[in-house]
Amino acid sequence: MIDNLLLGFSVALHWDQLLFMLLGTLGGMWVGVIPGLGPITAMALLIPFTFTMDPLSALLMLASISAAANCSGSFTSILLNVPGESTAAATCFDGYPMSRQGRARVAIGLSIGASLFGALAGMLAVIALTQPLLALAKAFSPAEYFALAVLGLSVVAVLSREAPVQGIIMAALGLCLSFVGVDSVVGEVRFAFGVLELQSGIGLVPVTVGLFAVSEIIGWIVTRERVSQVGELTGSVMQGVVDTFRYPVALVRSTLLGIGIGITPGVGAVAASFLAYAVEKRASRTPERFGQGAPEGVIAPEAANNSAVCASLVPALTLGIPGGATSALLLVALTIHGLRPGTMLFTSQPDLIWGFFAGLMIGALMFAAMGLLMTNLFAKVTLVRAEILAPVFLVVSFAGVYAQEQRLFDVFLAVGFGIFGYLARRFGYPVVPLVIGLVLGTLAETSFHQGLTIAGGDVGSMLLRPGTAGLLGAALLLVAWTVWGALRDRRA
Amino acid sequence: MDRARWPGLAFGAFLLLILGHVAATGLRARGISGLFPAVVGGFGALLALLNLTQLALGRAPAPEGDAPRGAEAAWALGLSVGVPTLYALLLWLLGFWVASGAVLLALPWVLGYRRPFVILAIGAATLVLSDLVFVEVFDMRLPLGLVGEALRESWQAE
Repeated sequence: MIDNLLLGFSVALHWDQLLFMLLGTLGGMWVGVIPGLGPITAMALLIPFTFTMDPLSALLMLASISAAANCSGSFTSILLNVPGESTAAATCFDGYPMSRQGRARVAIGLSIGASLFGALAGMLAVIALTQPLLALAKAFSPAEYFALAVLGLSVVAVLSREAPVQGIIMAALGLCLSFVGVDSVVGEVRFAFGVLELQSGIGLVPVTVGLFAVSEIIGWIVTRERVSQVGELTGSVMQGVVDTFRYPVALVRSTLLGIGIGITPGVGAVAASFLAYAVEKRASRTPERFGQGAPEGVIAPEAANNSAVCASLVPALTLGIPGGATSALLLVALTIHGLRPGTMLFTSQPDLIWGFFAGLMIGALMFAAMGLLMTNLFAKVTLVRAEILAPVFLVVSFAGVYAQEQRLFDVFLAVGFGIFGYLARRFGYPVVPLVIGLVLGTLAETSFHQGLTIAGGDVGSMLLRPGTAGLLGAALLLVAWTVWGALRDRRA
Repeated sequence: MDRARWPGLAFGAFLLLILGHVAATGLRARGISGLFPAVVGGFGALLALLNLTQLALGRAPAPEGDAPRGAEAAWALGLSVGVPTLYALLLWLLGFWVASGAVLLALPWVLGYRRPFVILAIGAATLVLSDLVFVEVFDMRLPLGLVGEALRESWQAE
């Protein structure tokens, strides 16, 4: 493995590869901070330009965009409570309260440190464990995917411990939103109310921009407060980076969780970040700090989503099964260059594949260096008056929502979800469970029906498969653990 | 009943209505297509009803918003709900450039910010950057609106 890595570094450390990675990192960082304009748009746009490039440069540039956008999406989560990427939604919980306390630079430092660790450890683990992990991933059937979705949904219990009934209601609503559009089981259109745009379903971008960005902007208009309530910035970004390593258990646990979820196609980094946050909150001896600016609340989702994005490359490059949209686009780029994912890729093109892995590690370091340089500038946004910030972000958010599908209907959806999100928060309903329900709804329903068909309609034999039962047991344990903790707190 | 609970009750009833509708539609659907919606909607509606009953009986704490109260609250809430809605309608009618220009110039003023040159500079910078990012770099079309499209068509016809 060491020889392969050395080969990879010798290929990736060429000036031309470094230049393409730098371009990809800068571009990714830029699209990552604009809500709605994600790495998928940027990668899809750049794919035609990669026709004439050598395959490694093309892959490294595209992967750098994905990695940098994934990391920088958390900057706006921390500074403005507006996730630049859906994967950064869980970072809002504790990142934004830190900004409100004037500790935006520390929070970004924590995010950079955890992202860097997650990405590097994720890549190393992927390199070391590719073969055994592949065997595990291959053993997953629809029944296990259904159980995995249930495990993801059980996170709601942990995240809404203070208002569990309201949390479950919102999760059910999120699941219901995932039913809108063409039914994945029989192909019928459901809950579209005759609206053509609803037949393709409700996208994650208008929902997240509405629930997080628009409802936050509404909040700014109402209160007219700066993000930083203390009116100044305290702490430094380096302090945040150093603090990341004061929580080694949270860092390692979340990274491992991200890798586990990343290698499982179809689940994705969004679920990984929420699950990691929930596990850390539940495992903490002082869970009441979560949501108030706890450093682990930033470290856990960031380490998990970055390691999940790296790990999603395993099924993409070896089985040709994309773990998410960005790895699907990487597969497209591979195919354009006449390469086929699979074991042959590892044996016939070792310089390409190991150069790619080494390049991703260099790209993570490059992003961290750039993040450190630019944090002071970014953090100043928390000192800008709400009267100025609200219109600017309203315009940028709406342009981002429109740009993704080029339809105004999504803008109206974002407005609707913004108003709904604002009212929900006012009346004590947490909005994050709704996003979790929407993300996992299709996976849960489709895999349940597929699993049931495979099991010949016998629910018992479907749910009692060892993998399925284990994952469902873990979900049950997570809920029981939370209920027990809540009861214990009430007695105390 | 305490009048402060009414908005919370109305919101809870709205959730119950949505979840109940999903459950009913799921039950009416043919075959397995309605199974998941019926189960999820039914379970959600049951919890929403429980929650609503608790709130109506005063067993659940009345929700406390962070918004100001009184006449100022009505103005602020109207503004906060009205601004995004009006902006979206203006996007549809007048297009991105005119609607965004109007929001960027008028909203800070309405919110009490009184430095016209700063407003003008930030508004112009936001529009220029939007053009650079979305139109020039990503080659995307931002909405021209009904009026913009009509004008474009008439120019093309000439």
